Amino acid sequence: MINSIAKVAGLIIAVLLLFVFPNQDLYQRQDDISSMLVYKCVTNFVDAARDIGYVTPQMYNDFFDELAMTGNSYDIQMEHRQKRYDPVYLDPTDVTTFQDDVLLNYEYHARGDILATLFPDNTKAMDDKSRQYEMNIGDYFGVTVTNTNRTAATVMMDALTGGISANHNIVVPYGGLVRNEDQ
Amino acid sequence: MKINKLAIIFVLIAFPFTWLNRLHASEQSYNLRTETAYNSMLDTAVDDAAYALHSKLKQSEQYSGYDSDKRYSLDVQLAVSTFFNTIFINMNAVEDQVIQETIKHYIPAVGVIGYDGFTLYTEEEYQASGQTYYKHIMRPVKPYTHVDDKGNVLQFTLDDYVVVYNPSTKQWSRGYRQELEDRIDIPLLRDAPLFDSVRRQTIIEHIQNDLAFAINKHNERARRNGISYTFTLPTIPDEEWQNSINDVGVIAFIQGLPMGSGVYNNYALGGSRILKASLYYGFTLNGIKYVYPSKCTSVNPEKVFSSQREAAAEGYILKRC
Repeated sequence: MINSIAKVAGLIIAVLLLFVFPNQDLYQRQDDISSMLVYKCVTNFVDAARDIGYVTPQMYNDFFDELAMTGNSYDIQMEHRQKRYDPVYLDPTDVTTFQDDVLLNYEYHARGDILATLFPDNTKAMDDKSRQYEMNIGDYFGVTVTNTNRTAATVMMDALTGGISANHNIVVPYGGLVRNEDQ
Repeated sequence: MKINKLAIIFVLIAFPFTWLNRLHASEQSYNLRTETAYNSMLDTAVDDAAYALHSKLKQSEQYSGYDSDKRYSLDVQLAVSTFFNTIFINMNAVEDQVIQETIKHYIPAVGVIGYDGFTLYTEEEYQASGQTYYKHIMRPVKPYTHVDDKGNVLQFTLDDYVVVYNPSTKQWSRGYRQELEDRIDIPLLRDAPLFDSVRRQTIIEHIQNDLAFAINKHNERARRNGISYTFTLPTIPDEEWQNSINDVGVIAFIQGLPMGSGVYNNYALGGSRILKASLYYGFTLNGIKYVYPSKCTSVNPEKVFSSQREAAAEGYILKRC
């Protein structure tokens, strides 16, 4: 009786050691490599956009395709904070109430605004000027990429630990000031 | 229990491999991040240096009266010290002279592409008061000279301005190509496209030769300082050269900087273009002051501003098109 319990326990341990843990480790490496690739893609894309001062549909598509090569699905959050100076009025409709003062504000454009410019509801060609999303020197442009699917490593980790962890195994935030305006 | 033993043996064999694998992966990702940080450091440093080149915007007296915006007396020393300052700040070495000198060994050359010549900032050996020093110093400016088949010497600049020496008449002449083509009998001056391509080729060759020489020379000294890396001039695509000699700029190399199990190698070219500021046109609509970027409207404005801030300071509200 004891012998058979020991046999079953031995079998379970053997399966864990022979198959489950090595696989979990390999999947984890796979995720590490994916995350490095994503990091490289994001830095390339953001640096290019910051260097030339605009985003074209072609750039975005290339970026998207490169990310897709990792086999995961991603949530791409883009943000563009446009620097603007606003005069201070007590009542904006009355010119005489000007306070002789200026406020620096950042106008926030999220992914929706940017994508609406890149992929408008018309049949204009890909390289049409109106489809470029333009930025100015001093604006901030940033991208955060997070994976949305459950990667194999997450699934196995959860199976082993019995937990329910979040999907986010790959998170890459990157951004910076726009340095150039090549219009 | 046989299967248990099998499992244990498997673990004993496989564990070192997975462990190594894990170490490699973490080193790779560390390298990637360090590389990105170094790249942005080098780019920032070169940009800062190029910006510093122009910080003293005064036209040199030699050329006063000519209206080329590439023609400024460049503050080369300031540009180079700005470059190193930015590097040191990023390397956390602002107060540490020893680290600063060590970092400098990995920077074989910093070049400044000037309007009429190329300057290098490299490590040189020199003697002062009986002692031999190895220090980074500024080399004299080397003009972009070209000798044609007949022995005429042409000194090119970053635009069409050229200084010509004719050995048969022993005469110097200077001016733009268009002005000289009728006065001087040199075929190159008559052919504008050829002139441009020869000019560009000459400038690029000059810069490449100087850099290659300086970097090779650096090898010798680097070895004495304990750096066993062979410095070479990296291949820079022709297009990048063509773009970089459109205007004055700075070029810098970092080579052989140890990073994990590999080394960091990179170069950066920074131009210092003067950007044309976009204008803002001010209008009053229904008693409210608005300002538009000039590209949005063609109507004659009430007032023109060169920056958003200026417009806002006078109470104009920014509208976008």
